[in-house]
Amino acid sequence: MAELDDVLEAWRPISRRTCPPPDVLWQLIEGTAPDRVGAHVVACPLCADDVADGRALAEQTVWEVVLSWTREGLRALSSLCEVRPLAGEALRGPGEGLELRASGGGLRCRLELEPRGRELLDLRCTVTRGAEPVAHRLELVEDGKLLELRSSVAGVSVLEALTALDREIWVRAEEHSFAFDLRGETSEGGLSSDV
Amino acid sequence: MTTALETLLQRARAGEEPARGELYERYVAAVRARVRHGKRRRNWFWLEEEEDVVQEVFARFFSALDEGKYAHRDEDGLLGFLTRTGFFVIMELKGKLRAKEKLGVSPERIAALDLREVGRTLPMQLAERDCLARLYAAIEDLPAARAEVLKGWLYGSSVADLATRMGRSANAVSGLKFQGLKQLRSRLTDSGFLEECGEVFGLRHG
Repeated sequence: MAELDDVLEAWRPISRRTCPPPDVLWQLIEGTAPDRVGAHVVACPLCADDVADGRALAEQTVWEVVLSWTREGLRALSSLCEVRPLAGEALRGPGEGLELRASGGGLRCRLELEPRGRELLDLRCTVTRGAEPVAHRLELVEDGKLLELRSSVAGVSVLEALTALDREIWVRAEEHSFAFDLRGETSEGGLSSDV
Repeated sequence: MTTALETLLQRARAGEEPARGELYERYVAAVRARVRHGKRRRNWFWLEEEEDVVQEVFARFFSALDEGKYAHRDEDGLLGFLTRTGFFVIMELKGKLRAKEKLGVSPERIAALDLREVGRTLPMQLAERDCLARLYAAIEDLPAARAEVLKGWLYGSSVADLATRMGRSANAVSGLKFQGLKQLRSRLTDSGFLEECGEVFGLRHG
């Protein structure tokens, strides 16, 4: 019965011969596949892995989320973080950017995200204590590595033309720090602060 | 009313290279961002050149335009098409790695795997599904260690990884596979599997 070994070899699930084709898995991701496909994906580790990969691809990146905000208006980023559309001052007008605010230790930190074209983002940070500007450092961090550093002038710091978005923004003022977490997996969480 | 994007697509369909270049420039950042996001989110350690995926997505998109296989609805639909194409490219890359035994299922997942349930949920259009389900159930019914090693082999786990997880030597794992296959043959023979499923799999019997 050596042929049985050949059958097993030919039908090893690792070949995906026993799995739904990729277009059917994509239907599952889009929510249009038959229930039976979902049951298979739950049982099959290969398909579960493939579907998780597809879902990760299908997730909006933070950049797309920002574009979505600017197109469709305000969405809550986090209950911890006050978010509002940018408006007034030197900005282009309501609905074209986002403003994130956090406070602690008597400080107010204001982060403005403004799309520049389709692919770039300008970021402007203001820290104040009451009406007074507060000197601070603005850091762009990726995977724990410091990519960019700006020192404030008159309480304002600016990072222009950012392209990648899976990053964290740290604002350090006096002995306090504000962290705006822009990584995709926490885009709904938004903000932390160790003030 | 024709939108600027529709006009651009029409020009690209007509073979105008500047229009294709403009489409590429307009959407390459979005595709690249999604591939990078997927790579980081899902730990695609095996994907060394993410840019290759990005370029392949656009090559297929322009082929689809040429062959009339892209039906434009709106910009979201276009981004969806590019994302879906990216998924297919990623799946093909994974398939090649799986064929080379370089991307098997982890032994931890194997330990939690119910092969009987996989058999129950095989695609309906698979002609061999009932017999495969029997085969998988027979493997699941083997003594636990033998079943685990056979399942690991079926799903591309390495012997070394299985040995580490099971706290055994590589030789012991190979021995479990040998004994498992032997016992499986015996049980399948006794259960009449060959008579009932031999033809489905092109097996000789009798």
